[in-house]
Amino acid sequence: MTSQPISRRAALRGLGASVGLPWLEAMTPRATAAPTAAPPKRAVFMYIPNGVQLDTWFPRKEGKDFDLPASLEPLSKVKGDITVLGGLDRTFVPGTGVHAQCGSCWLSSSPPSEPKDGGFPTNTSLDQMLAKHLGADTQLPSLELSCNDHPDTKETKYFESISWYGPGYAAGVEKNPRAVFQRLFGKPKGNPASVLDTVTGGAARLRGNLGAGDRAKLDEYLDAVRATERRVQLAEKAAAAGKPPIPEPAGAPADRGEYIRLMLDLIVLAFRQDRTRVATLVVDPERWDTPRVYHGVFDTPQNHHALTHTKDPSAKDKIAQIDRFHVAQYAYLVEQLKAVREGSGTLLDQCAAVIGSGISEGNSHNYKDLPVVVAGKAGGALATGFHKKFAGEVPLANLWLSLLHAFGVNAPRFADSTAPVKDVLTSAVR
Amino acid sequence: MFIRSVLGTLALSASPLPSGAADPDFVRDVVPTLKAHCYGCHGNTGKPKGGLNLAKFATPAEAARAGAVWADVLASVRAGDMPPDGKPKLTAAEKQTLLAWLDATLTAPGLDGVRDPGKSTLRRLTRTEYNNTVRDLLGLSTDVFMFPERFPYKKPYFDPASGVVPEKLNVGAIEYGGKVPALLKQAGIPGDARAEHGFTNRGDVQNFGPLQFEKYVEVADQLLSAPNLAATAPKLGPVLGASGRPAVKAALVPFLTRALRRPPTAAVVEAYLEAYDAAKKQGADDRSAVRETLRAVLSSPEFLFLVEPGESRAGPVAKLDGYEVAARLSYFLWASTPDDELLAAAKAGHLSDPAGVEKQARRMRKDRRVRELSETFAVQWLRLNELWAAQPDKSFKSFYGGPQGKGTLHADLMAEALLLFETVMIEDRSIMDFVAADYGYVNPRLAAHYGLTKEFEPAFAAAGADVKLGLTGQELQKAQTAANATWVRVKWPDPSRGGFLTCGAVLTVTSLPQRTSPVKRGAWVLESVFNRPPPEPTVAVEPLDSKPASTTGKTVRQKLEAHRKDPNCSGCHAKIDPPGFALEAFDPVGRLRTTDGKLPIDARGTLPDGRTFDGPAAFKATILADKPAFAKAFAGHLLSYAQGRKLEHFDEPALNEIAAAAAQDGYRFSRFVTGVVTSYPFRHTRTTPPESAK
Repeated sequence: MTSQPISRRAALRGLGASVGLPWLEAMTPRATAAPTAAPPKRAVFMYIPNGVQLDTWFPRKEGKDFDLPASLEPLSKVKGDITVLGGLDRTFVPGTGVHAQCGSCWLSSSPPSEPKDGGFPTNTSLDQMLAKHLGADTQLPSLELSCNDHPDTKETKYFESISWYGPGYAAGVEKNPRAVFQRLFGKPKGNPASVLDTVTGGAARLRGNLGAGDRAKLDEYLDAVRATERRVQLAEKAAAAGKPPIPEPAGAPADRGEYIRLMLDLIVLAFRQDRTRVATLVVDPERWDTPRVYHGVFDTPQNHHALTHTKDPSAKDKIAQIDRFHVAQYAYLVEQLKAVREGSGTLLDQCAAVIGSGISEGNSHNYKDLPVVVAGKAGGALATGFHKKFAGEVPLANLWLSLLHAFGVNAPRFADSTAPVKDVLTSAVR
Repeated sequence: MFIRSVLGTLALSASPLPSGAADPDFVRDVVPTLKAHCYGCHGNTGKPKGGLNLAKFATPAEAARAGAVWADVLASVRAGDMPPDGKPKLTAAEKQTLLAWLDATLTAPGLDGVRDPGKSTLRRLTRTEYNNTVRDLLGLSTDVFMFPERFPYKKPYFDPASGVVPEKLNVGAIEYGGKVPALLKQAGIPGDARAEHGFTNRGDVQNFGPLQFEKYVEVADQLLSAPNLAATAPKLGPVLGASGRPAVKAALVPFLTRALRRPPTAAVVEAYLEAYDAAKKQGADDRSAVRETLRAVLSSPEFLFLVEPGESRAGPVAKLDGYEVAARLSYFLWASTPDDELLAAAKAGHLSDPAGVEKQARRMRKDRRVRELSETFAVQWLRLNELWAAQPDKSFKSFYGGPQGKGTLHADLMAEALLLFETVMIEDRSIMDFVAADYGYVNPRLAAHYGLTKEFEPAFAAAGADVKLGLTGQELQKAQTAANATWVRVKWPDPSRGGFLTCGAVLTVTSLPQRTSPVKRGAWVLESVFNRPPPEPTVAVEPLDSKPASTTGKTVRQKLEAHRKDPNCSGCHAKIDPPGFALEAFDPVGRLRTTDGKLPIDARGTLPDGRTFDGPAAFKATILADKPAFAKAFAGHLLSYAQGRKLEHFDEPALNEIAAAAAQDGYRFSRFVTGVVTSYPFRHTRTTPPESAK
């Protein structure tokens, strides 16, 4: 792992000065759209594994005058732009490990009637539903990132993928900031355009000879070919946008906070240049048992998962500190989005930026009362600046359904939702 | 699913059930027993336990269609898990009749009277397979790119044709992450996640993401832009050197035959020539235009996926054709593409009968490419791919050497394990050596780590690998590095060591940084040795702290005993923990120990069938007391890997056949390879969906 040759800060200072272009100016190819058109909506989801320390996460007071406990305190500068929700639940579906399911099904919690992947109730996840709706015009339909640069993929995809194209079909994460950069700003390497026709023909020949199960696998390949085709076309158009606004990162920074913030910077950059409108970031895989260094927080590496199962009170303090560390990175994201002017408001006003976990209390693997914070107004569709705790069984998917509505997807339900969470929607969409 | 759902591992026997009596009748002989012992919980109760209702099967035909259900029942009954404690036991006669019926039902042909060979879901080449395939297709002398599955060894000793692994050898270790020879230094493709309890080559768990297609195109482009390509990739020469459409076409046919693993039809050749034609039309020269065609071939689904027949062939079962068998053979034994001889054998029809397949397999086992059976199959089988991530506590000083402890023991531990597998494979020994061998390989550093320097001193001296006294500082370090490159075959001084269970690599992978984990070790034994992985825990419990006994005043075992009393846990842990207890004789980095902190080690245990043992040697003896069971478990791992699919209940007969044939020949390694490649499921495929999917 190498740090970047140029400090991230310096690069961003440069960025602020030279590339403060709003989305329309930066994306001349999109100038076919009328200059008066409203800026697009964007969504970003940040996942934290293993749950949180609840007593330092959830505010005591509900409503607009809510308090920010220690873990959420880094959000004080943007308190008016966030909504803290409590009392939202997921239902564990027996047959898989508790940790594997809480991450892989966070944005995709299918009812038993929907297709499954083995025991996992994974179906098309919320971000991919949004990508289908928002991503058709952008160079990349969506970005899937993880801040786990560990070389060994010791866990299966269920621990590190929150983004799913469909049952059992994980979007797969990019962990190296450099690769993300190349994906955003590089010309598609190897000139894939010229091979597209030939390989599509090959797939068509094959398809006729395959049974249903094999066809589904081949269709994954064909989807990838089509995604490339679209990316090639859009990248050609976007070439006019000129040089990338920040230097290419050398790799993942050694400093954990810098690593996460660099990935978040790339998301913000992709949003402001309208190269993609949907992104997910897994801070760490679920149940990750290799100790991590949290720079500036602890002197020694910490095993986040093991801490959640340790009864010692000092472990609780440590979890709370890790929570606060993660929230600080999220606050950075929200502040960055807010710093970008767009249309008559800010980029944050066009976004839903969500942070949460698929487990509330890590020790008992509790799926009830999940921590989730939403920032941004999604183009005026989302209400912000309050804390609400729901009573009784309220599926997390109800919130996801409301987000779909906020983004103009008028689905009657999503996953195991029972009704939209009206509180988060403004009267414009209710 | 049969393989994973069963807990009753230790008592499982592969030996056939008592024969002689007439096959029992379901309604007359079986239903009364089920009614008396099973329906109470697993009947029409509205909410049958575990969702299992056995009363819904009224006729033999209905029952026979639910093979997976009965496979579970068979394993639970055979192991004595069912009926559970506290319920009346089956009488000996009831048990024998029930087992006989289950065995007959599970081995009966399942597809309208035809034996079910299973169906491998369309498999994409794994990263290793892609690398090897391109390497061999182009005739490269190095890997295509650097990838983590390629271990940092040069393996000059590895000579399968010789039939021996030298007594003294050099593994040619490279620092992990250090530079290994590769054509493209920066390129790569995404890695593959392993299947739960399985291998990375399983089509059903592989995915193809949008990133991935671009990566293949990019690698193909870089490959074909490499300097001196004709010299670096000699097998590409004829295609690259051709000029004019007829010559290009003539050169392309043999290339496509090798790339697509079967002779291309005229339409396929024309389809790939279209890329050439398009480039020519735009004014490209012959060589650039040919490159366009090659790029398309290397990015095409026909190349990236191992295609086997589907519904287009008359069903329900199709015999694989020679080219498909050739591909199965080469990806099984070499993790690479068929060579010219295999393709010739396919063309000549030699792969349509078991003898022809066996002949090729025998040849292929003597080829250096068979190293993948060790580095890919064995590594994933034994879960050693996780070894590099193990971070034992810094207090285990012998694990860390050199400046800042950067010279870790990882590569040495890995080499020890690989050398055991390779010795059994190359010297065609009994696979029982995997459980308990009286020999092994060590270098001076590993010998010191195990505390066996004195015992092995003569062996190292004879090999010229002893470090002369009187050296200090850099001189000493240099001499040590040189000495550590030498590995010698040694006889373990006591039977505690020997076999994979007691390899430092395995013992480290299954430990936490500061302490051992009998649970992880036990689960490893159930999965790797018995091929019966335990299920995920169903209840959340606080895990034991990760501290060593020296700071907690209790051994791990003492802490675990409290857990085991919980009735929610004891069912599974009665099977998981005993093997782990036996291995408590080893510390978290694989060194034998008699105490943990100041507390004595208790390595005694009782198996679910009542047998007791004390220590690792005695535990290994309990495994070897039922050789057929281990043979069948190993055959299961091999057959699953060879086909790239999860095994199902209908694979039981094949496993029994492979294990029985191997038993006739001292369980020699080659018998398992032969058994797999000549087996019915390896040479056939199902062409219709299974009954359960309809």
